[in-house]
Amino acid sequence: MKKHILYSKSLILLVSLFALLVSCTEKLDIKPSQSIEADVALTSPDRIKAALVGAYLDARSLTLFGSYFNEYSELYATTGDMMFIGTYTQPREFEEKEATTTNTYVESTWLDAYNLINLCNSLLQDEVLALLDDDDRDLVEGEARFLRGWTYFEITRLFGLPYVSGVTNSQPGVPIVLTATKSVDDAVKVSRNTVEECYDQVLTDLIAARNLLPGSNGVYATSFAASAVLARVYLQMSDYVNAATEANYVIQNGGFVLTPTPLDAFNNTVNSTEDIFAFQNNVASNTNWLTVMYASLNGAGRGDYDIQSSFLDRFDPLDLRGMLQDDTEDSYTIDEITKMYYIGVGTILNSGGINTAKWGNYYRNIPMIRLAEMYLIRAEANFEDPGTDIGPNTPTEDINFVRDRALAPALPDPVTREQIREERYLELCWEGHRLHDLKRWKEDIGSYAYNAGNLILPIPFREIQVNDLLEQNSWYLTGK
Amino acid sequence: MRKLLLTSLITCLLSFSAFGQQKTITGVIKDKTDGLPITGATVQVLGSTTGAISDAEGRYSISAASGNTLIFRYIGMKQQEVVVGTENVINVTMEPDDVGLDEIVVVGYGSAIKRELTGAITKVETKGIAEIPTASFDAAIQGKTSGVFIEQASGKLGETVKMRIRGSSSVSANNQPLYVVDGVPITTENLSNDNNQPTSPLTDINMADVESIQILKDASAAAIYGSRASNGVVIITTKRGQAGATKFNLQYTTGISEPSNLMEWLNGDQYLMLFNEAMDNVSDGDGLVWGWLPKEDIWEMFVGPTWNEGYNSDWQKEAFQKGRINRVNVSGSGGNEMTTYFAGLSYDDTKGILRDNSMNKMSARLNLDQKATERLSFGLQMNVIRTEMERVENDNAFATPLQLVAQSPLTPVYDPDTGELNTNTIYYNSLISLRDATNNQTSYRSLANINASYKIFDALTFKSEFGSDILDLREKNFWGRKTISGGPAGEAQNRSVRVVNYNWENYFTFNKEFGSQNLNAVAGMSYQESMTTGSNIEGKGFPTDDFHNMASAAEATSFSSWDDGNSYLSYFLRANYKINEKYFFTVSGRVDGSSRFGKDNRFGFFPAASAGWIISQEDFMRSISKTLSYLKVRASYGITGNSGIPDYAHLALYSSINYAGRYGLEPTQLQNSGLGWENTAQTDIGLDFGLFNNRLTGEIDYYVKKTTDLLLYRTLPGTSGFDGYWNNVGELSNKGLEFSLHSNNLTGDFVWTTDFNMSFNRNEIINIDGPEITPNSINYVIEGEPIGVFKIAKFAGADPDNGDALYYVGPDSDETTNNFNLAAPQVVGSPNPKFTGGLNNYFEYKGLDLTILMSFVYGNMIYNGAGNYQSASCDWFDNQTIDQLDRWQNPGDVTDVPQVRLGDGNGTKISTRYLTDGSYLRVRNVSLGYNLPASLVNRMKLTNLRIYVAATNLFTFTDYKGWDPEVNYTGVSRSTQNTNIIQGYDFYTAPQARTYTLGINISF
Repeated sequence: MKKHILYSKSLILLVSLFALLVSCTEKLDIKPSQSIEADVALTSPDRIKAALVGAYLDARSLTLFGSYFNEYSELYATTGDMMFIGTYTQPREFEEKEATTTNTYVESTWLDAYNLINLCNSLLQDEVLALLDDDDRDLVEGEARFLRGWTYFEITRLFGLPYVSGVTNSQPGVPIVLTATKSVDDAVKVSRNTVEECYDQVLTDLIAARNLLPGSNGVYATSFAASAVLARVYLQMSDYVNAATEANYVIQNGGFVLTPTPLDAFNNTVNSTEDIFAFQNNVASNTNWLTVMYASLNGAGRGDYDIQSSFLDRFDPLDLRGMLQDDTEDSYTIDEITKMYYIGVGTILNSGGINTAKWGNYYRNIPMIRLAEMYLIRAEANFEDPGTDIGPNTPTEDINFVRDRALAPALPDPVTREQIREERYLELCWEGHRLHDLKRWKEDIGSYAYNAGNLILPIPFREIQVNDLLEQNSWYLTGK
Repeated sequence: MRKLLLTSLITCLLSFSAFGQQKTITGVIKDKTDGLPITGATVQVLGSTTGAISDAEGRYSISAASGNTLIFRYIGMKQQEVVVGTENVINVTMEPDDVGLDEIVVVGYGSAIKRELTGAITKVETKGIAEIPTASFDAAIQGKTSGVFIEQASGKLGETVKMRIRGSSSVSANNQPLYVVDGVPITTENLSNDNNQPTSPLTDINMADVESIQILKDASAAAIYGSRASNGVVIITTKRGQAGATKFNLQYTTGISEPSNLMEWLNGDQYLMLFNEAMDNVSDGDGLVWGWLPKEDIWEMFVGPTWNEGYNSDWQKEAFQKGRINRVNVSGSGGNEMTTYFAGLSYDDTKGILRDNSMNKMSARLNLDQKATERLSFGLQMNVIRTEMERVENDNAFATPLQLVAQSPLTPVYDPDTGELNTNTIYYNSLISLRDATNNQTSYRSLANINASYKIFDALTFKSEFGSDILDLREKNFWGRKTISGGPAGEAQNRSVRVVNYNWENYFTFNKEFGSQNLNAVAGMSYQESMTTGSNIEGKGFPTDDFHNMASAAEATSFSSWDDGNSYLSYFLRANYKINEKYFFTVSGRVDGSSRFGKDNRFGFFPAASAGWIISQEDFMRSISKTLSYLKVRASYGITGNSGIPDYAHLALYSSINYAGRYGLEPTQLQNSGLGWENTAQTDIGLDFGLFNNRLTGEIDYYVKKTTDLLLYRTLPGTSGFDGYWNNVGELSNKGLEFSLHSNNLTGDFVWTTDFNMSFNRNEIINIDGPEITPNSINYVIEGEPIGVFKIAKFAGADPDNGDALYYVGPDSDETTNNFNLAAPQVVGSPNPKFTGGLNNYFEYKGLDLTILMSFVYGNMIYNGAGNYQSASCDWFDNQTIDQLDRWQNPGDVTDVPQVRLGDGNGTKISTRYLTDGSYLRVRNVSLGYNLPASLVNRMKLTNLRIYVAATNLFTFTDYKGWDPEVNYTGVSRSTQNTNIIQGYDFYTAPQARTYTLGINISF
């Protein structure tokens, strides 16, 4: 009996010991469900193409093309045509032309731009491209270069002093990173390349994209989109022949058509006939931040960017682009807005001011390059270049073509430089062009010269902290 | 366990021989506090081995002679001695032992007697905790324990409470302690929507169920919890039944609440005057403001048509409501020798002080313990909870009630024409949201623990315990069409999260006497897994505001579902060895593996050792034992870990995303396969003492905590495409001194006891192997400074010549500048207090008792993040704090308020203008109770009847100019790192409630 008890006790002891040592180390392998591991992410054509779509999403981010690129330009450029009347401190710093190095807009733009560039670099790795068939390879390479080149263009002109043609632009631009960061070891410190080198890289990428991409590619980048951005870049460089050539190529061959009225080009659920490239946005996407800032409607927008009535005086009374809808009611959404400007009605923040209707719905596409801009580029480039006109039209004809759609009376031939420049403003205002145009034309912005140090963004404080190779823009160090 | 210890205690004490003429003495032993019989009390004849134990009715019977002394002992009660006379019946009423040296303290995987502890463990006084009307138990123990800093985020209900045990031990990983309820590490992290401030699942714990709260502070105590113990461990046990007649308890508390403080704002006239001046100061020669428009037009445009109609609205008042609280607890407990139980039911209905903020909580519990055989026993603890909250929006939303203070007093609350809420206000009138939006969060939770223990040999017991914490949280939000985010036709959100967290433990307990020595050991394993699944859908476009469900939405604007998880596999061992009741030694070790770490570094080892010596037990101390009645020294050293980082932090990942209906992938993080634990080595030296027969007792601890291999989200050059990655780099330290005193000032009929505790902690970042870290350009992580230190420009007041805001150019300079960019930020203060503490006074006279609990925090600074709107020299039309009237007006004026200038940002940049001392002394709880005399109560067939009145947060003494110095805006979507760093930050953050309650507690 005693032996039996001892036996059963030992058995219990053994069972308990077993329970104790139950091995479940494999239970420590819990994998994520909403992510995949990086080493398999770019290993099949489907996944590579999915990552390419991811790049568009990153580019659409509000911190980049989705809004901030536009806001920096319009806020720095304004000297009274638009007033910032919101509560956010970051945009106000740009309007005052006194940004701080810790401005969180600038920091997130920097980080997100290089995040996008790194994704493009990852897609452009030889071993990744080698996994694709020829057609796909051209598409992936072309689109990745398109987004990378365009991003470098935007950040170079925001963080670096203006490009000046005819000289070597040795002023610091942004660091050019062309290799993918696959591990922490790749996350090395880099220094700023010159503006000249940055523009070279921009051209290399965009020319390659133009040559690789097809003329039609759904909602994604096409050779025409690449050409259109190239036209912008050449214009910024005052390389008028190339600017006119690229613009003309898009106008002549792209099959794009101006929308019936100026306002038709905006707030669309699908690309308009005029969209050479637009970021796609729908109800399941993030809120379009441009609308948050510019609109003041029922359920949309803070009305922070208050357009001044004096600005509307610039338009011809018949010009659709300068019309004001002043009978708005609290219930109005963008669908009830029929004119380019309206009196804000939103309950969110500022109502009662004048707002642009270009950005009036959170969930519609964001036009990036419209056909109208190509006409304006061709007109200006042909005007500035003393040689033969590129394309069938004279500058006057191009300008009047754009004005005609807006029902603005035609300008007498020949148009002047001032008229061409004014037309750009009237057509492209609030689309993020103004600052760069003023710099290109070497025009003062208020009391500041076009190349004043406070008209470019600071290298973010966090980035300088972590990378001592980066040189801060001098105004942020010395006030000059 | 308890019985084992008891037995060994008795064995030790009964080693004497008997003498004299014998008779049988009987009697009943009762508890003085509740008048109930005490089961299991020991009676011993002094100097003999004769002993007895009281039964379920408290009866005992013992053989003794006249002239003998009977010693009555019961754990947690004062020992009593009665000299036997001629009587044969001796009834004894025992009083709780305030010194508590013999009280049972629950430690990880077992319990111990306080006297024998070698580690730093505080058992928190839980008496009366259920009478305190705070939302969660952590807020109810504020100021009660040394070494523990507890801070409520705001006066909103159900928000996460910050608890720091001996400082912050991490920069990027979690700094909150591990909470273990009845042996199960429970789910504590916020599960609510990222759009709002975090809520605390700890709110679910019903205070009326809580039996004890232990706080394990040093490594020796906490290391048994290994990888999650660096921030200390809070062990909570719930009430168990005792053999005997069923005891019923009924408690009802009701009360009202109001904001503990209001701020003073400009009235209509002052506002009109000051903003006219602010516009004059920015007008040109033609009287045009900014050279643009005349003043009247600006008034009309921004403040609205009522600006000159003489309104004087008090918007602050509109943000608040009269709070109320109703709380009912009913419980029954009892059992027999084989089965004991505790069953409790609670209902708590609280209406907060902020408009539209309320909480409703129901909790049911059954704790059952069954002795199946002599050797086998099992138990079940089961708790089902439902917590429903009506929440308000986050502090940084126009729709949150307190942002109403930004409105102009010149605009009426209601539109005089329509009688509806005024929409013609400077900012969105958030009263519209309070009317037309709902923000409902309901959680259902079950905490269950089933366990069995088997005594294999007398000295060896095996215990298996399976615990689960299943938490199901649902949020249903709706914004009507007239609200800020609900236009044009309403918006709704439906979100649900379920966390299934289970824990399985198996361990042996060994306990054996070897003469005057005792060995007590625990060895076992545990596996814990926590899986979270969730889904979220948002939709827009509803036929009318009556429809709040997705079924009625025109389109879905957001949809998502997810699952995530983590697991821990652990083996642990602990041995306690004691010699002669004088020398105590503990060693422990735990091996922990976690899914959160890289394959190369998945397991960590956490050892600890400690020793204690009760010097007063030594012969050489006898002579002074009347004065120095108790003296013990303790020392411990050990290593604990921290694994409070996101799941999968060690993996290189691409995440899925959608681009306008098209699927995509993007890289999101870099790999670190060597990612491992953050280690904290802690040395603790403690001294426990009792003076004058333990009339005055106390504990002093000095500790040094050094955290190495910090789990740091290390900054990377952004040009790499990544902002950082998780790595084990850097170190920080916490050094501190803490002491607590307990004094029985008066004993007898009039009882007066005082508890005082105070803690000094010095946190220092030693190395972060990279640049300074700041999430907000205000709070920083800087080597050589404490975490979250304020580094901002130093404000120098208004320029006496022209009223410009001036800043100091740098730390070592008296030179000032009006160019903010030239003012170098400098370290100007810390959000971490220099010391914290509490003072509790308890008075008792003939059934009447009075408790006054105060707590204090000293030496910390608070930054008012809304200062650039609230006290901004009229930078914008936000109503200003009254102190802005002291503005600069004429050359020669010396003031800290720069000239008022509309739209000019005169002095509104981040600077010490908005940094103030946050020290405070708060009378946290005053409660007066009356226990009706036993004679009266017994006639009512009750065992006890208590009525009480109480006030919380009655007074606060502080120089802080905001609503409340106990403040921390916890932000939205904030990473753990940012939560750790951003401290002492106010942003329209609601003050704590001042609550007055009245209650009754009946036992029968």
